[in-house]
Amino acid sequence: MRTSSIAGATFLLLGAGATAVSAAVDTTGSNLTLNGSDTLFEVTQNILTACPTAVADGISYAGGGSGVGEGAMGLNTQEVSPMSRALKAGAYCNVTIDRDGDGVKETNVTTTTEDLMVGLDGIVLEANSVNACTTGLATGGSFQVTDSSGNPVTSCPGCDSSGHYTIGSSIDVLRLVYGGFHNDAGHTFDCNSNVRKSLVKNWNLLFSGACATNNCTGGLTHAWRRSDLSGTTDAFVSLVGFGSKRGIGTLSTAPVNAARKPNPFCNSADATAAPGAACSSTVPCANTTTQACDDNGLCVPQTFGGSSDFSDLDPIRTTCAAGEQVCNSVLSSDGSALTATSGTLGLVSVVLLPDNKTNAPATTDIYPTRNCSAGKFDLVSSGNNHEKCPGGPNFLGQCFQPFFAANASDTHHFACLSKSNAHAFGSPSGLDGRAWNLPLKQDNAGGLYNVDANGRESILSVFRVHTTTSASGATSPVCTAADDTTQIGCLVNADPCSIGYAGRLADQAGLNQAESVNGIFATDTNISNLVTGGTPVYPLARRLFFASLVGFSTGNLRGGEAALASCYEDNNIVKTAITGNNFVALPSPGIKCFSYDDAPLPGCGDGNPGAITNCGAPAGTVPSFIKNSF
Amino acid sequence: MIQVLSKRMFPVAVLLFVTVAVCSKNRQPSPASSETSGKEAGGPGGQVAVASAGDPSECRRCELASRNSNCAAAFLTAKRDASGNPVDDTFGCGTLASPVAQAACSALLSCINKNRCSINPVTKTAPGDNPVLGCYCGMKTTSTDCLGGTGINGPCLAQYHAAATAVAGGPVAGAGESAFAAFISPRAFDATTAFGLADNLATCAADAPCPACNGL
Repeated sequence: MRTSSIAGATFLLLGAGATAVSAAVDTTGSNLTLNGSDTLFEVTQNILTACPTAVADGISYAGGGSGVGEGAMGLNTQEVSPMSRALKAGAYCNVTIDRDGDGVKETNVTTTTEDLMVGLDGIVLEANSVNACTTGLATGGSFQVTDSSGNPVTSCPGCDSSGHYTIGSSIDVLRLVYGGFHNDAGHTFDCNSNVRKSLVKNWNLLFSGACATNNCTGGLTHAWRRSDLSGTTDAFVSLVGFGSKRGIGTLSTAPVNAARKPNPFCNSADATAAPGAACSSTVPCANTTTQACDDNGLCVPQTFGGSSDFSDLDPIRTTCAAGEQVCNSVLSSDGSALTATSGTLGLVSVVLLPDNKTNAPATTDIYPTRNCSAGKFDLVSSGNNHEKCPGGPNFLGQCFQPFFAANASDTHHFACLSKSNAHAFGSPSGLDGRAWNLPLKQDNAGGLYNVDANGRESILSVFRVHTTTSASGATSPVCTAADDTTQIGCLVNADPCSIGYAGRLADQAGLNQAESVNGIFATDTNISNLVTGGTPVYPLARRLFFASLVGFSTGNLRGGEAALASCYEDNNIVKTAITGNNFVALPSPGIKCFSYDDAPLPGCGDGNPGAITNCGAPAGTVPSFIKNSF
Repeated sequence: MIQVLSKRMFPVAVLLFVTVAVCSKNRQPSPASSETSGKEAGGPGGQVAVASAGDPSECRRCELASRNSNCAAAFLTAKRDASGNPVDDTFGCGTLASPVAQAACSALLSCINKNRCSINPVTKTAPGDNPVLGCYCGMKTTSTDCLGGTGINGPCLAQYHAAATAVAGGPVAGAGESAFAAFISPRAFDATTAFGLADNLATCAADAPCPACNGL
């Protein structure tokens, strides 16, 4: 279970304005709840089970995403982190940290940083095994592009003169669905294009062959994605490729080298902004901080990592179905009227469970199962005077929130499921009451919103879309997974006309299947080929890591973190955990250690390549602290 | 009551104001003389002023420097550009269009600070960061009662009334409390109104925190 109960925890009432709760600097290595890759959540739990010393020293794991773990190491609130991608240069190049808690960043980690490569994974594109037409994403094919009325168009990016668009590969499909990136020479990015709309409207086109029976005549309902700060997303963006400029920036709180990038996903504000002015290498954008010059020579917004995690801006909207339990009733700026996109969720939607270690919500807060009492609302604070309320105007800096109460004297319980017909004072006519299920509220917190590990209010809990009910025709029950990866694997069944990308752990036997990409399946062999030199290499294969800015070879890790590192350095423990969670174990000799000048670590461009490699061991050998190599 | 409120609810207008000034009752600026660049706001020679109660320039520096979400620049100025975005380096009650609105905003902020009546909206106790609940509605008045215009007895009631009447389309002086409540409640933190801007300045001061703002 990745979330802990609020029971017994010190309850912190956040005032207006969600601000991150500062964790203490790690000075002992013990009594820590670590952040890091959600992909490696179960693996790390398994390793902790085999690592009693670390547990006895108070180490537990909350996941939250590789970027979150990387950021926490930069702040030195933890000194190790499981990660589903390699550390970025900005995380350690010329970075100093405070190891003794005196407020002075005295320790330069440039040359002590090390990554243990502990396994391999393939990011999988999951679909429902009953409805998916074939076991492969489309690798080619051509389709007629039509307008919103169904009439053929004759001019569209990447189209021939008759309005046909040709898919070049499975990667083309992913680029269009998730980022509106067309394969024309002009590098068109358009999430609202007729090409993208025509593709997702036709379920058959997504797969490598026609459906014998098409159960998804309405087309693709949703394309689930992991959050900005997950290593899975970072790898997905890198491997799929959305041009040379678009990507995921760092957290704004990165200690050094904080960087913005134009977010590539169609649910983001960056990707859906109107094209800006023309630009080039000699004609920069007006504001080079907040804008980047895109591959198509237009200025586009760029933001820090995490900016799209709570955005539901995909211009392709899916009407909320009867079996869905969250729905975005998009309101006017003052909350008094519905906009045209009300009663829908975007095609591309983020699945992001709460990751906060402080004041963590209980499972029953994350997935409430009881209905809110009919007609019962309180005007309460979300923790933010400027909250854009889900169901109507903000009054007095507060929002009307539904609650459950067993009787008149019962406490008002704000963790409850609101139905579509719920209506509060001030709610515009036609509002879908499931909008109140989007913000995550703790049951007895008086309506305050949960605040995640990065100080952001959990205002878009799309992951709760099938908490107690599944979509019509679904072959699976409901989805209440404890981590984002498993939840995406479940959602493609609860909503069997959806797809989603996640780590291979999402590939749950029986109900769903991982589609081949460019005709290559995410088999152990095809994933292992990433490091063996064999072919074919699964296009979305990636390495999995356990990282430390302090380093493993240095012997400087302390307490429970040192104990956990010792277990992560043991092939016997790691191999069991990796293979037990549907990942791929490394070929002989097993775990490898990389220093800052070793690929896939990016190095620091300091003109001193090879200065420190292989974690201090002679080239071609295994460092002595890695146990049970084979 | 519900019908009255519904009829009076209309989109929050984004008003364009041009005056820039530090919000201070004691330093009420005139529109023509109050232009202050952000670079000058940190104090002479660019040095950071020592925080002290009632220091307008330090209040401004502190609030604009804060990364608290309630201190976003858009909340601290009434001035908007043609796109509706807040104008850089503008801050405070002096950004409201009319001298009447500026004075009403300053008077309200002064009242909020003097009475220390911003309350924690959950515990309903001071100090907190929601001024309208404590200073307009009153410490013991429930939010729903206040929204309906009943039981309103906050210590800055008169100042809220004055600030509401300074807004174009707002209630007239002497209107019933339900009319004021219906107007103030959905705009309580709308920076383009005299009362909303004062509320925002007080909220940010509490959350940043910026003690230099507390004596303004």
